Amino acid sequence: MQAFLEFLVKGLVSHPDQVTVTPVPKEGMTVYELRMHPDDVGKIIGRQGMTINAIRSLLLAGSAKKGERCVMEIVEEKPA
Amino acid sequence: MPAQPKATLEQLLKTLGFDATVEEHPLEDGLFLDVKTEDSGRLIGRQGQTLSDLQYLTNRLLFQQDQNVPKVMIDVGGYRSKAREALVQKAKEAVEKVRRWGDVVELEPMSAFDRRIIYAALKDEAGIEAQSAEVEGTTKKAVLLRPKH
Repeated sequence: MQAFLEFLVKGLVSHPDQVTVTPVPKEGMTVYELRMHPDDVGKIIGRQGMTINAIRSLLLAGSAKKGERCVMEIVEEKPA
Repeated sequence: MPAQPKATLEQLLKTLGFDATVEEHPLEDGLFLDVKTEDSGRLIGRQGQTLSDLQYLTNRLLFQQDQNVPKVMIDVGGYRSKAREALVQKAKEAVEKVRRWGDVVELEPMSAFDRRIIYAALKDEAGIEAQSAEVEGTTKKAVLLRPKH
């Protein structure tokens, strides 16, 4: 699932080098934390959340096939 | 770099854990990618939702690679052609009802893509007027059929 998210998210943004995907185990499931350039967050969310909903839907299909439970979250770093 | 539709979709499916083969066929206004996999039900999703998400994301990826790339249409295990037939059938039944009762018939809310299939099926039906109406709580619209006066 990590490879899937990295391939997809890096392919959708303008700054692929700044994309990181960090798996965090949590209560029997895996939370994938996405970090990226602030300008790219909107691209990944998409109009009315369309893009992020589509990513979540495929993530769900893929993880169900593997018998895993995965979710993803975008982590926005607060400017210091 | 020119966009790589087939390779991009294959990579998506592989990283998602689906063993699949992808065949490319040119279309008039784009490219048709036909996916064959053992687990097609999972990839299609309820009412084809997962399949349309896959198609949407593939097109977004390709657009990022090359802004002039033609749109791809993805099918898994013949789902789209079956769904299209079912929609055409639904349109025909609705036309039949309008002719018989002279009342307005409302189809369930559908995406623009599905409505396009309905309108294409209605094109040659004389005496039928159709329009789409907003439905609360969804971005989909309902097609209303009524007799033409």
